[in-house]
Amino acid sequence: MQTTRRGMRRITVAALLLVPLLAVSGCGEQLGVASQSAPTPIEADSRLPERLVDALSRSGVDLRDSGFVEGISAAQSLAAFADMYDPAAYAATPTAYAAVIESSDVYRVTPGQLVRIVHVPGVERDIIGPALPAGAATPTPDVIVTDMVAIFDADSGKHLFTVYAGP
Amino acid sequence: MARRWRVRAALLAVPLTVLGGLLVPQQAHAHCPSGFEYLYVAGLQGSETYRSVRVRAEWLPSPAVCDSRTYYSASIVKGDNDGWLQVGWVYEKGYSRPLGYCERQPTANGTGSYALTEFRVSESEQLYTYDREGADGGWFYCRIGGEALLITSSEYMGFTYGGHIVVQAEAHARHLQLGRIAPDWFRFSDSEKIPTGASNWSQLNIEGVHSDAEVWDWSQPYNDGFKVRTDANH
Repeated sequence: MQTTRRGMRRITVAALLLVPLLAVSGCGEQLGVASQSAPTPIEADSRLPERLVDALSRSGVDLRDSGFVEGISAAQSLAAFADMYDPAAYAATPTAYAAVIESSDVYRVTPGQLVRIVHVPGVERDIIGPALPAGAATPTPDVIVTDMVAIFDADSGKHLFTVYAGP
Repeated sequence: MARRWRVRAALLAVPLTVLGGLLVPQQAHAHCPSGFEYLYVAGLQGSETYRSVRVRAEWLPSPAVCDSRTYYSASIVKGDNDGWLQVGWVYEKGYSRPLGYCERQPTANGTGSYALTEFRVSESEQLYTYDREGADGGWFYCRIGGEALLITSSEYMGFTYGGHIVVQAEAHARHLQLGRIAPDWFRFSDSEKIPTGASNWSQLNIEGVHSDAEVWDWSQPYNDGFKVRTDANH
């Protein structure tokens, strides 16, 4: 009888170990519309980094932190991002911020509009550019590390634009 | 008793083995070449100076082959690639669908910095335009379909017109076919330009076609398009 109880405890421990494995492998319940294949956790932060604000400003988008007061939550913002891009495709964890547009060269936003930002730092892009005039050398990739910033409407969660800003 | 535990252990091992298989990243399909490759085909015109360019470039039916990155674009280029404006569509690994984009690379004299801006656009809106409007020409407009998406000043770019224009298809992988894939073709004849001093669109007169002939199976171009396959397309 003593042996049977110990055995039952072992089985219980094994079952408890299986629960997170099932969840990670996609057999458990999925939250929101996040990618079924995304194993990385996603986080939310209410403070918009100054470095990111500066990078966006150099790319024609001026905004400031607004806090998650009105509109969709950080989790909903990240879910909207996962509907457009697979978070598992990036090495860094996407982070959600709330902001208000001050000015922009993008027509789909207006000054004063509340938006949600999903930021993925350290995304590699290869800038190649157009082909050169006849006789010139074949263009070669120039790999840069940039900030991927996806902007969503704070009310509807609709994707407005994504900018790879910088380096 | 020991036999009973062996049975229990075996019962536990089965689901753990299955789960382990699910958790291990799947290997790329055997026919997908590894490593980064940049392949392209481009048509150019450089006999005039230009303020506007546009091209019709439909999405490919299957742009996601072997995690390839695919770009189809039209560009206004200043000098030897020291600055350009580019508009088109892009499909990258991890994207749920192709996206329209406007890309800006200012010259050293420009006040702006490099940026690529993506937009969710309708698949029926496949006319990609960079257009500097008006005689004073202070602003470049990036349009996809009938929608103006992005505005850029001449000061941001450091130039007011381009020395040559380019329509281009790029593959950032080896396993992909660019160009003539019916019913979605990329045709040079579907590209137009406005030279400086003109006010109307006119057809591009392709003066040179560039590609990497060592890698690509270059079986065309026709006058109205091209067909290029990578070396992995067999």
